[in-house]
Amino acid sequence: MNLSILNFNFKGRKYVLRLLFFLLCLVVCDRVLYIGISSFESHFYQEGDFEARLARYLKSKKFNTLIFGTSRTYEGIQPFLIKKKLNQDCFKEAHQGVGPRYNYYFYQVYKKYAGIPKVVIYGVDYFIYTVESERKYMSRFVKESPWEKAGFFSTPLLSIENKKNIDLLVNNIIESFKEKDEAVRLQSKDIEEIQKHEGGNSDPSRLIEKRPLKFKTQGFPLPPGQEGDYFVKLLDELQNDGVTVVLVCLPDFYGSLVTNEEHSLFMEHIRELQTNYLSVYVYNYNSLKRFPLKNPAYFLDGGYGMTNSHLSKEGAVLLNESLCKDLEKHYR
Amino acid sequence: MIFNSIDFVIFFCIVLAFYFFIPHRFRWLYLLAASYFFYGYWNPVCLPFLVIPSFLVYFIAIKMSGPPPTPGSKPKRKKWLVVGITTALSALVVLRYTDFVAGSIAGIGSIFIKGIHYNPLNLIFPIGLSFYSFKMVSYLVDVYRENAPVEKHAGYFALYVSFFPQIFSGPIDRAVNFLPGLKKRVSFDIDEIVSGFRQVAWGVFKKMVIADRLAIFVNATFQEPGHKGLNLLFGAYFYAFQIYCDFSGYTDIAIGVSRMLGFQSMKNFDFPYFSKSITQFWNRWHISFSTWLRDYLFLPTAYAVMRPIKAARLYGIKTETWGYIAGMLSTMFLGGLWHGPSWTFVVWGLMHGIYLSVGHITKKSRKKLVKKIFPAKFKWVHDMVAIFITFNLVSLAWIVFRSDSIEKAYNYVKYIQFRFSDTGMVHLVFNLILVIIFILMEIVYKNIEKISFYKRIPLAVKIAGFALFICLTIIFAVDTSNEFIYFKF
Repeated sequence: MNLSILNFNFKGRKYVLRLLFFLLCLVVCDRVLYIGISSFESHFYQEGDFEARLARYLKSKKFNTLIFGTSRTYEGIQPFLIKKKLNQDCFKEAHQGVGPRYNYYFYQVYKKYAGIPKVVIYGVDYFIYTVESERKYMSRFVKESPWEKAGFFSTPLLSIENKKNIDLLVNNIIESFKEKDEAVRLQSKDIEEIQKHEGGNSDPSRLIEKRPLKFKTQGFPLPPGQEGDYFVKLLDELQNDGVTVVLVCLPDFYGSLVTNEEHSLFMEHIRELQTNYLSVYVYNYNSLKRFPLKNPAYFLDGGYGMTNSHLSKEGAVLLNESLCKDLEKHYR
Repeated sequence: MIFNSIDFVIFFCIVLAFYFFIPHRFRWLYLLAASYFFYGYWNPVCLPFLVIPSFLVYFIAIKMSGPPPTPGSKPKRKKWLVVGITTALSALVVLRYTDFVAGSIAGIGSIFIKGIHYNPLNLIFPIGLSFYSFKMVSYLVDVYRENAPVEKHAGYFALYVSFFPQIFSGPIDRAVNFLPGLKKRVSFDIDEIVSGFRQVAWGVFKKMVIADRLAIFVNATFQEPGHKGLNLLFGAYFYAFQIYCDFSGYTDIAIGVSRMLGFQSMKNFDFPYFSKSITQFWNRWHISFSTWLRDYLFLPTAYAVMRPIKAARLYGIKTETWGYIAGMLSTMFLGGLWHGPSWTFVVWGLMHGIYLSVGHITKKSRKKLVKKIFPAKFKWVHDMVAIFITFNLVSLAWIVFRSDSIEKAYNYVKYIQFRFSDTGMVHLVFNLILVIIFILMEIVYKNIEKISFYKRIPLAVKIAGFALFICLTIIFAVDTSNEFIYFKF
């Protein structure tokens, strides 16, 4: 036997105890810091008057359509274009950092102040099951203790498990020094700004048009993933409320569509989901037959190796024209 | 597999867990297998570029150190040295510089002849090639100069070239330092493990908390330098700290990991931004590389230039100065080019070459001037001024180093204005605070054993403090999975 191991055994006990003490300290420090961060986070993200502001805005008009989605929908589906074409008032709650869980809670509040909508347009993304609603948005509706947020004993180090949220908090704190205005302070989109957004101009530097020899592709993340259960819950509730649900697959810049290599599987899944409901309709614009996916002028970003892609102002105009044609029958 | 990844943590835990259970005579084999796995994990295609040259160089070194030539026969040592260096550097030169040289020639040619165009071959570049090629060269030269004995054990030599903590970005350890350590019987030493782990943690902190955080500001300023005023100046300063924390962070992890396995690696950084001259800076920055350049490039070149000049002075300038300038400029030119096939690196190297040459020429007159301006009791003022000037000269060169082209570097400097910018002030102040905190922490860390107060702290408190430090590192680390900057060199 190697003599060096005997040496270890001789001193072993003392060092094992030290190691155990170190691990204990690590876990304790991690929990203490996590509780501190969580408490600070709740306080920092507090938007006491969100519901009141939302109520005020919803009561200002008679909305009959609600639009859900992520940043892709924020850029791609524009209430003012639908108003122009179909004369329908849409309320959009689509922006970066929100997923099905947020939408489910938002819908409860929306119903309270605006009543049940006639139509819900939901921009469904390829990565719908990996999206996790950010805490700064969730804190509008749900007050969670650190235990509930992380599962206090679920993992050895909570700071690693919640790294993404901690990073967001650190960035938001830095940003908060920039502006006093609360909406900007929280980097959250203001209600009115979301409704008025017209889209941005195409930026060639953010597009990858030329197909590289090698690029990373992305398989379809299967349900339920992060918040898939809430997506089903929301669809169930909308059906019970008698709402017509329009699931819209927004166009990707062609390279992104290729990157999302299992897009057909994603569409299959969405269509299968649709069969469970009578009032859910699916419109897929993410195909060359339905949209000029190779035209860079219609996109803000995307391309080979980029799983996410957003429409430009011009692209949104084109999409909303097609969408309005498809939507028309649902308002009759 | 990079050091700040979970893959590496798992890999290293497995390597360490079994290492001390393996009999000493087989440890080299275990480490060699681990090193080849580590390297192949990155890209298995690159493995032959590591394995084949190291075995060729091993045999060449044995040939070179063969029996002395018999009377009448020609000595072949020099020939073998040339063959060895060519073998060691051929992959580096061909894979890295073919496109650069051919592209530059085509570029110059197109000025005179229309239609000349070069289609780059985009050859594969094995990571760490620049570092392990230099290790082989240093070994060959040391054996040739009889500064190091030839290594008879092929496995030991292969491990020296491919030792996984050092393979991607050094330190460029010398065989004469590394091989005796490998042969020494090392037993499990908990103090070394703890000390190594502490250094690894400090390296991770520097990389993920400081360097990656500064990178956000630096990338923004270098991408869009227009109209950013004073932000650009601080962008350059922050880049100086970013690259330092990134590279020295990597080195700390490499040294810490080596120490846990019972190896003592050479020091690579020693507070370089506290240098009072550029010469001092190069004695403190990337020490394994700068000493390599000194021993294997600068000194031979300088002597080669001085040898044919018989007179003590040429055109009124000392022969020694001619040797210094020629040696320094050519060394720094190649030193710059070593970082990559780009003119920005060449200019960066030449800038340092000029700094050093001017420093050498003006050494005496500067000394006189300093004596006149700063009396002995104000030496500290002189030191502060010298540190400030040196840091600014180094930062100016970093601008060229960081820029995508010479033109962009020129524009960057041109846009620097001494007025505060309308945007980015919050980030500037934040990063400034971060840098100040880092400097204070680095001073404390490097001198911690000398601080008497630290010695009085009970062990339990130290352990708890270290646990807290690790938790804070996790919390404030930037989760971008950024590669280390020196990986691409």
